[in-house]
Amino acid sequence: MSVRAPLYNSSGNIQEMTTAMVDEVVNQIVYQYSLSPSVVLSVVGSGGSLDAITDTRKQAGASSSSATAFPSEATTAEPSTVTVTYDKLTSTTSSVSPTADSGITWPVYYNSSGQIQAMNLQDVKDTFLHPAIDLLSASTTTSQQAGTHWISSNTSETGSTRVSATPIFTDTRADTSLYTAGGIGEALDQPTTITNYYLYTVDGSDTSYTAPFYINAGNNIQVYPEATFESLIQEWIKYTAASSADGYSISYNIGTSGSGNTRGSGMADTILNGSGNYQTRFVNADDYRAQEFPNGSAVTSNTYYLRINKS
Amino acid sequence: MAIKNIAVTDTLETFRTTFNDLAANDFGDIATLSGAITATNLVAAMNETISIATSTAGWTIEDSTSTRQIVGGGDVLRVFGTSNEIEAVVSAIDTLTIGLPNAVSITTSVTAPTVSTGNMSLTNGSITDSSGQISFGNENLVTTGNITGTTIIGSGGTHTLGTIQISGNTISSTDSTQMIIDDSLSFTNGKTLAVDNITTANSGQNYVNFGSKNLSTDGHYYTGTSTTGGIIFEGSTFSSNETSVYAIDPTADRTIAFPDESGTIITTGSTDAITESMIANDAIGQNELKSVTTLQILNSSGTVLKTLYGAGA
Repeated sequence: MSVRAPLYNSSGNIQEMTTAMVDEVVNQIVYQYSLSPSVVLSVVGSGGSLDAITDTRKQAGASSSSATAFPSEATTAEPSTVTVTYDKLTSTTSSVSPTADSGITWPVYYNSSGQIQAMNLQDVKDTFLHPAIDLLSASTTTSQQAGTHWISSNTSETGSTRVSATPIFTDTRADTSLYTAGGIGEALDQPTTITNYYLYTVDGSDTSYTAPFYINAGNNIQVYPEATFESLIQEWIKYTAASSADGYSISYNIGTSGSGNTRGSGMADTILNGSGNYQTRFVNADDYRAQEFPNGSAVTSNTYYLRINKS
Repeated sequence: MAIKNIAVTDTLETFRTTFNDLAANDFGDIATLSGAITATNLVAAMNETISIATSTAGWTIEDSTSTRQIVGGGDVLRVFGTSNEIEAVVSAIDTLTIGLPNAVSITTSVTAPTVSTGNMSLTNGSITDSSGQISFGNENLVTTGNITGTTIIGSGGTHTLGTIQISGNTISSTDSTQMIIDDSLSFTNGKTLAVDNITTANSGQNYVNFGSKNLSTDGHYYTGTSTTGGIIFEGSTFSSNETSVYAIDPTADRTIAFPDESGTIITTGSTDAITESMIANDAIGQNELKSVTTLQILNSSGTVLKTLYGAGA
């Protein structure tokens, strides 16, 4: 672990960055990631690469009829469970070939001998890239997680952009109000949408930072041109998020359990917990009907989470 | 000389030796007979001698070469002098006087401890002495002509000369290592003073004054080997304060060049003197910085990309 204090131009002097200044650079790296994330979730119709999740709800049992008397509750079909699978999230990881360290690629720092030395890649990882990944993979969804995804049931979120209007998961339950005894012979599945869940991407925020010194081709100390530095760190944060072999690559998973930090709302699959609402209908002397409608209280059968994981 | 007698019984050898002794010691060597005698045997010589002696009361004269001449009776002995060399005067009674004329001419040499006379006039222009030295005592040697010699040695006080022209090219002292010229020394225009050393006279002055003249050389200016040798600038004010320029003892040949520019030399004593323009680009290294602080820029592998140096606190 070699966290360095990069050097910067302090009113014409060479000075070590404070921790706060390093954090500002890390925030800028996060922002650069948000401009071109390398691990991206998208919403597809089906067959997403992430695990499928399911929504369950009750539907009415099939109606029974008799010409002589109402079918008994025991003989009337119980409400059943309808399961809808959501497999709408696909993760795409970009292939990135970042600029290799030429020996003078990275910012400089004072080594223990008081010399000005260019950071090596491990220094950069320890100082910038891995802290940036730590932020990106945190459970919060502020601008410090820009470019990463989270789940919200709202149709819009401040500071984030909805990836698609298509919900990645919809919690439904049987709409008990639609089932009436007078309508026995009701359609079995009469659901109502409880909650839609959407995929969001955290928006980036271009934060101010102080560009550090580096060694230019003439072996002189120079402040990074902004575009040069930002291009460089963007390449490497993208590469790190996509391909880190140090345990800092980013991936998403979805399910009731999994590795990583949860992102956004848990997606609750609620269902009515009643054993059935037995209802009868007298249509005429030759037509006695009975049917059990979904009933009960809504309970959560599963809660699914989108998780972001570094590994 | 004694009687030689050979007995009958003597041997032939005795005879031989007695005879030889008789011939050598009693008769004499015929080779030593006077040249005035023409006879060739003892008897004839005796006879000739007796003849001469009995015919005249003559006598023999001989010179230094042993040449002899018999002056016989009746002969005249003529004695002549040589002009300007010696003269002979005959006078009564039987007197021959030999002397020198007033003017003597000697072809080769004359030897005398002292010659006292008036003027000496030489006709062939040469006075020599076997001792290698002719002394004029305490007398002055005066000539309206020239004094020419291989070596002219003087001693004592002042020698007053006119214009001196030396056929050789060396003037030196025999009793000192230093020539003292008690006057200003001037060279006519264009002449060169070629010396190996110039020092001051014993005047107490510790410098050679060239006046307002420039000191010019196409070669090099060498200072002495002492630690204080160098150049001293008096400055605009003649005082006890001077600026010395000297070289720390070199251990090898060194060259310090003055740049082709005007300016003021900076020394270790200068303060806030070096300006930016004086420092060349890419000239300051880490070692020139005070309390140098190093800041290295490394790549991500720890390889040094650049090292920055700065002056410390």
